[in-house]
Amino acid sequence: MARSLHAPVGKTNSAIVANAPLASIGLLFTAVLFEISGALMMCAGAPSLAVLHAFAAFIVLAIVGSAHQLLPVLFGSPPVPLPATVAVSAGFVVGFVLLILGFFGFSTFAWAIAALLPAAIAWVATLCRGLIFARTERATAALAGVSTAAFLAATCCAAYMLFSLANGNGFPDTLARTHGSLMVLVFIATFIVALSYRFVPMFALAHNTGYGRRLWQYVLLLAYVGAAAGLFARVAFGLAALALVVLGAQHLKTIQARIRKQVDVSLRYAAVGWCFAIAATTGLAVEGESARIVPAVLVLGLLGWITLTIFGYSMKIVGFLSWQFAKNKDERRKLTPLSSAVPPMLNRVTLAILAVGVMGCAVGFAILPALATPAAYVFLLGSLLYGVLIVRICTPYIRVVEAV
Amino acid sequence: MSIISIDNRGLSPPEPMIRILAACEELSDGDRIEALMDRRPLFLFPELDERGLRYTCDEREGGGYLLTVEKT
Repeated sequence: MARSLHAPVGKTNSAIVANAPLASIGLLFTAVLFEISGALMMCAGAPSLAVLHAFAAFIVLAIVGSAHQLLPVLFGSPPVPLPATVAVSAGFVVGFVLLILGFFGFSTFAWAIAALLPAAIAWVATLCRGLIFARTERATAALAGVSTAAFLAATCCAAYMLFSLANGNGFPDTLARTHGSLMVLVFIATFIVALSYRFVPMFALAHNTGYGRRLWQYVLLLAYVGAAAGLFARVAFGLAALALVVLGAQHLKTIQARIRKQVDVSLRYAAVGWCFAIAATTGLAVEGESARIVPAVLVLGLLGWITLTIFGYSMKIVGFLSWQFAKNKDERRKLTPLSSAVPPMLNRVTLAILAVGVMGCAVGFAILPALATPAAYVFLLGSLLYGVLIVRICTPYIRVVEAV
Repeated sequence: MSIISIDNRGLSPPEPMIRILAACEELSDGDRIEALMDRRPLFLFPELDERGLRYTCDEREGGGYLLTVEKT
């Protein structure tokens, strides 16, 4: 054949050209900085809404950064232009900083709305464009569509509450509950469950064992929608816990059927996170939304399930994007294999510390208050180690680019 | 030299990746895999690179991609 057979990675794919890997890597690193700041604020006893929204910023930025890179490829839909990606990301970053400052008593809520609302609307618009034009994965696209609708509804609730706060008024607790439930249960959880359906077999390199139907994904979605709406909430959470167990068993079966010798590092995080998801949802089914259980469940759900899963998947995505970035710069250079880019001991220690931190915080918030602060420090240590870990993963590839 | 043709169209991830990696095990020097794909197999590239295989992935007119993998 006349053409070069060495990988012109990224040069023939408009999605990748339009969405430079470096922008998404930068956004994912920024997301991790928000996560570390959230862990730090938790140790320092900062206002709980500031802590909560630092973690929310981490989650939203990680989803935005990953979605812009992966969804056009997954769905075969048109790529998002780079300027749009940068503008949306900048809006979220600035908006969340102003929002968090507002919870510390600064008069920044009005500015936060001005930054966050357009960014959220623009992101939903770009996502909807991608979902509407999806050529493949229509079922995943449909789930992502429901998740996006929940994000929009939660954003509308947030905008109303921020307007109210900016005018010096309070807001009804029911609206805060609706905002939180829509954001966590319907938007983030659905998004993660829908993507896990593809990521687990892809990262494990395994046939889709046990993936014949998506029934339990829809059951989980319906249960979370019901719980978010407050309809038979405990029954809904019970059903959701059952769905998580069944989906977890399916993922486990897939991982067991993998071609790789070792379980991929990203999946270790996701597996631990999934256990926390089952624990959090079961807790809500058994205890209901009592004042004692909700903070512990938030820790298990946000820090345990969602944060650990995003950490795992981001590790894979950041590694891949860095590899791709280096390959784009010098396609003939031999690069460090991605499979050996993650330092195994540091990775195991980080995951163990994070898991211990999450469990300690949950127990501390629920039954043993004296444990909460030390456990928060343990979680902070785990978060810092994760930061070190992803820097270590990227370094060999960035060094190659510097050498070029 | 032989050419292994694989039609991965209509398959969901990671089936195309698994089929190509399985075919890579069969390659001798100078052999080539030509695979039709619905998507650009992004996560496959580092795997091929790690195995020292040369590859290209070109967009096809009318949609999809042609992935070529060669052992040299």
